[in-house]
Amino acid sequence: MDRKRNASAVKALISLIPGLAYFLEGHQTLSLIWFFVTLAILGLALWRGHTWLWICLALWWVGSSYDVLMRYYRNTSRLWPAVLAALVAFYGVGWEVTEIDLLAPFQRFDKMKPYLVALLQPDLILHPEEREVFQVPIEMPCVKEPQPKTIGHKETITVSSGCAWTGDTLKVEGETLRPGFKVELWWVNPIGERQRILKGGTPLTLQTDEHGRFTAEFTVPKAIPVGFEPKPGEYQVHTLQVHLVRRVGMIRPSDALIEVALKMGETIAIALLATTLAVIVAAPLSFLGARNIMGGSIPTRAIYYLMRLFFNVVRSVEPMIFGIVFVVWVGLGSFAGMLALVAHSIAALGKLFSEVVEHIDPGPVEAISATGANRLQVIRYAVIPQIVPDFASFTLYRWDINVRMSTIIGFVGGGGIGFRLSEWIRLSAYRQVATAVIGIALVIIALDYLSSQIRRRIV
Amino acid sequence: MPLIVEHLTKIYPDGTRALNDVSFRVEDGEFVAIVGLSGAGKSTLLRCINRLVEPTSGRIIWNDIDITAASPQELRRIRRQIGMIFQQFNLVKRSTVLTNVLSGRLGYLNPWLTLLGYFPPAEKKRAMEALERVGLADLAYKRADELSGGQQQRVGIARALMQEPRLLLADEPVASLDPVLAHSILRYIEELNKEGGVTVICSLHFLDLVHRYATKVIGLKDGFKVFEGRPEEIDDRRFKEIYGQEAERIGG
Ligand SMILES: Nc1ncnc2c1ncn2[C@@H]1O[C@H](COP(=O)(O)OP(=O)(O)OP(=O)(O)O)[C@@H](O)[C@H]1O
Ligand SMILES: [Mg+2]
Repeated sequence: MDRKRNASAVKALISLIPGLAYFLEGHQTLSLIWFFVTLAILGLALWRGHTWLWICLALWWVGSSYDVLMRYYRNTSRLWPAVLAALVAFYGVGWEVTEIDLLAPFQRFDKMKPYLVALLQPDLILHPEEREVFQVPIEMPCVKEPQPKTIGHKETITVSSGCAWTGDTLKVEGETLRPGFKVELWWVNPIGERQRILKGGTPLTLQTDEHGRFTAEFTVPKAIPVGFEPKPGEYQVHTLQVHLVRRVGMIRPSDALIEVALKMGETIAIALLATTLAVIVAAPLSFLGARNIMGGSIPTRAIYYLMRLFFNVVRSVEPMIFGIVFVVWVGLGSFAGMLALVAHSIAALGKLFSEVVEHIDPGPVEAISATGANRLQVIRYAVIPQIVPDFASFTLYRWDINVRMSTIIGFVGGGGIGFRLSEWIRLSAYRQVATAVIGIALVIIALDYLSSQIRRRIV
Repeated sequence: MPLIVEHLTKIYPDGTRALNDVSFRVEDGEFVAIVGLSGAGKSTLLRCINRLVEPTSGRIIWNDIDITAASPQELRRIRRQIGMIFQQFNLVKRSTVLTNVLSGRLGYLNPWLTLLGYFPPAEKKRAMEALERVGLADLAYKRADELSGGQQQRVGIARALMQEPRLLLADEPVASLDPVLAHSILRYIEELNKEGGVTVICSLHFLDLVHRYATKVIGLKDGFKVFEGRPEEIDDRRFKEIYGQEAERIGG
């Protein structure tokens, strides 16, 4: 009776220390997991100091003990209460530190909108045009009685009032201008911010008639610069610009389009060169990293393990990190980007290649060895014919990847399209960004298709 | 110049004793059949002779040269005179038939030129002759994996022919082929043996083939040599010694 009670007490004690029961049952890994999870929740609770984390810790504790007691008395495992408590703690803290803001994408949609709009009208073509600009100063607000204002002698522009305020309606007329020109109205505020004058949400566009006349009414836009509001009794001078526009000559690709095409070419070339250099290095190395080639003696096996270690370590470094390293090392530009790609590709290809070499059919190798061929001849006549298709296919695939990576590495200064794209993003050149994004997408889709077609042919 | 195998033992790294103290002697021009159950050590024995498998102990002497003690360079000179054909043919599937045959000659040629893929015209002619001998001259430029099994094994023979071998090792050369093809392949080997004077050591599964082609039989069981003699000496008792008490004789 007494012993029985003692046994129960021991069991209760064991159940109170998370993981101990598992340790005693010989599940070392499980007990370690329990130990570290307990520590982790405790650490989180101490760090963030929230009450709900302490509650999670308590629930975890109770849950673990409950599990152990179930194991002792019911012979079943009841893990979910403890696991649930731990998950709540981890995900809760995860949510908190990520500062998840589900509303941000909607509330800040206006930040994204220009890019989306620009995607529909990328900067692709340029229509050279002739543009004559008339400037009419407008005082804001009116401090005197409004007076119509006319500028010019032979060609005149008349505005119904030389002063106005945001929301006022003004009438503008042109006389004896050049006939058959398009007319655009622009508003420029004192700090030089320009905006096109709209009517009903779209840019107001008119045409001069055969006598060179036009008439338009428009609403003065919001243009007072923030922080430069005129003091009472004072005014600031804005400018109404009247543009007479006529297209001349042929359309041609825009500067941005030419730039994107050139840089895309540069990107593809960087990727191609990097892939080629990487193959030249990785192909021989891959033999050193193949077990069936290097398995023979202890020194060769040592080289094999070293090679594998090298491939795995280098492969795990993001190309972006290499990009930063090489930009520091050899300076900004395509060369740094290329070296970054080479470094990563050597390891990635080396690993893939050595696996290809490991999976060749050993039969032909034996057969050629048995003819008295030397090691290199065996590689040339028994190994290489077997690996060429896979090597070629992995190389193409790598080139494809490198084109993508190259655009990313450009962002950290590695040349190519990425470099220019990052500049345009910084300058808020939305339409140019759109041109670049569309260019990158098209090239990658084309390459993807091309390389998969070629790969299908050779395998 | 006989082949002498003395106390040959092979223990694989995992501890399998594939050959136990096997000794025998093969005279020039003999056609030796190696028989035994699956796992008896036939392949291991054949592979020890050209050291595709490193023997654990014992000696193999051929032409008064100790193969087991040969340096890598000497070993290549020995290997190039020993042809070998395999159950799975072991052709390089993506290479042409001609290249497969030519590769039998690698041990004789300038290694650097062959690395560039160059073979002297005389060698190409020799390869075409070898293909003619096995009746495949018109398939020289096909890829090896486009051929049927029997054709592939004939390419294997042509490859061995390129070595101008004095000894031919054949590891179950007909086990993947149907009986009609088996005879046609073995007849090519027999022709080499009878007319070319090439010594043949060949592992075989079927006793009727042994009786038909071999001049001498070596029986293996669990790595031990349990029989050595002429084919007609294999009576029921001997058969059971080689193949076990429960085995039934079929054919032969
Ligand atoms: N590379 C190896 N490593 C370990 N054990 C091996 C190896 N190769 C063969 N063995 C073992 O050695 C023994 C003899 O094998 P071997 O291939 O020589 O037999 P065999 O007579 O050729 O059989 P089969 O008729 O099936 O080809 C077998 O028990 C086999 O499992
Ligand atoms: Mg075998």
